[in-house]
Amino acid sequence: MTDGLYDKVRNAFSQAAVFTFEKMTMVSLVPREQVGPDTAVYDLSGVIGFTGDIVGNCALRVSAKTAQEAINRLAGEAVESPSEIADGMGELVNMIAGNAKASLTDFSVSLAFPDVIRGKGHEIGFHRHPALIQIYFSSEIGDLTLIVAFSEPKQK
Amino acid sequence: MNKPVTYALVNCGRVFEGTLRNLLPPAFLVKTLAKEDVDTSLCNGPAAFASRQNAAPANGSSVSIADAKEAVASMLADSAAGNSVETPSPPVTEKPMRNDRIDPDCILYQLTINADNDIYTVRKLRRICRFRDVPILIVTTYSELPRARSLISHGANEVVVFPCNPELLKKKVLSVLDPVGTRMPVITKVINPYISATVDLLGTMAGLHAEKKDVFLKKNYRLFGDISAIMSLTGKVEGQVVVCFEEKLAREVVANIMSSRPQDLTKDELKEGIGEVVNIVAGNAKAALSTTEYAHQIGLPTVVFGQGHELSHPGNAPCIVVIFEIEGQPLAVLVSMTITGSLVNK
Repeated sequence: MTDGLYDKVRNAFSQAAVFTFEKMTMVSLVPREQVGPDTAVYDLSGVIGFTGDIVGNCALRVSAKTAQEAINRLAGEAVESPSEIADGMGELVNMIAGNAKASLTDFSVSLAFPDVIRGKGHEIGFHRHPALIQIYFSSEIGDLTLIVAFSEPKQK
Repeated sequence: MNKPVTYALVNCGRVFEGTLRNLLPPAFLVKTLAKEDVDTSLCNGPAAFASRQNAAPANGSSVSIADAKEAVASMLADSAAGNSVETPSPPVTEKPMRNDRIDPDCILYQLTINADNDIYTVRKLRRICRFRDVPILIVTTYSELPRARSLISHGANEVVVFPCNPELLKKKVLSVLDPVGTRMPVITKVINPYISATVDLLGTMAGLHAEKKDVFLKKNYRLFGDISAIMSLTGKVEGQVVVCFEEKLAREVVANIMSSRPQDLTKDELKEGIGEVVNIVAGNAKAALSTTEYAHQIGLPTVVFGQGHELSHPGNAPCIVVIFEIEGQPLAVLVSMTITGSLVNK
């Protein structure tokens, strides 16, 4: 792993998440320390993959209540349909990854489609990712977790 | 040979049944069954469905959504010409024979008063469909709406409030049958590398014979399973490949690859194994497509665990699902792909 890459990616995604939530949902995210293993139960996850100079995945994980609240604020009205909430989650993670991509000016990164996973207490495994960044946020609408898992491609 | 569109009404009241029958043209079959008969009389063995591969893109030709719609339209016309008016359903006490199972295109389920039971039934219905894209609609009254909505995360597709405006009901029950992603032609030749990669992988590495059962365009972007692995694609095409397993089969496949026993696998091994499966499938297909105009790069796999979780992805890309069967257990491979830049972003 190149020197400073980990921190650079971490900062980019962390700032992108804070910026996106501030701008789109008027929620200020505060990074928090997670002591011990993460035992929170997540109901919805937005996952987006990227390739390019760094290859990996970015996932935003929230509980159903937080998702509902965040999407309500994003849409500016009460959203009830579960598929709209799922779409909103995909849009949020897309924006976070897009903002992070914009600030990672040293790399060329291309984003894939976001994918939304719903299921009470589901788990996500990132396999074969040498670098795993977990950023925990707390906010007025609940806790959020952003996971960025990536590696540098072999060639290059 | 085309079958008429069949709606299966599970646990629905007479009033709803009558309304639906009156609304739908005669080409649509409406069959009713009681909740208890779901196991015995719904959904066909896999064999019954295999004969319905009318949209199977095996010849490498390009089928657009418009074609698929035409096919549906002609199918409807065919069945309208034929005499397929359904006689009133037999009393539910007469259990249908095993080979007489209803093979529905859409299931409507009316809520009972027992919430746990409903969740269980919806999950069961979803599982019976074996990854097939059968929409499940929940019929409910206005006062039960919140509870009906919560069933959507357990496998239901839509909620129908009844009684309601008949036109609205008709629109709703018909619209769930349309495939998604109408903005872009489906290039069916991209699916073949994925089919052969999956069969090869399971055959050579896991020693399991995977039989292709069905290929279809998804009607919505949701897929339910126990363990799935996602691989994202970027490049000249963007999209994703998802391999979706039920837990038992996932363990079997990974155990065979790792020469271990299914019950001895740890969660990490399972995770790694399934991630590897999607990696190899996507990798092989990528190599096969690298010389075509669909060249792309692949990302790293993400593995999702959770009994009956749901995957959905927005965007207007068409979504092709291939269903394989290994010793009677289903396995779904989903490919959702679009040419970069061709997608009109919302």
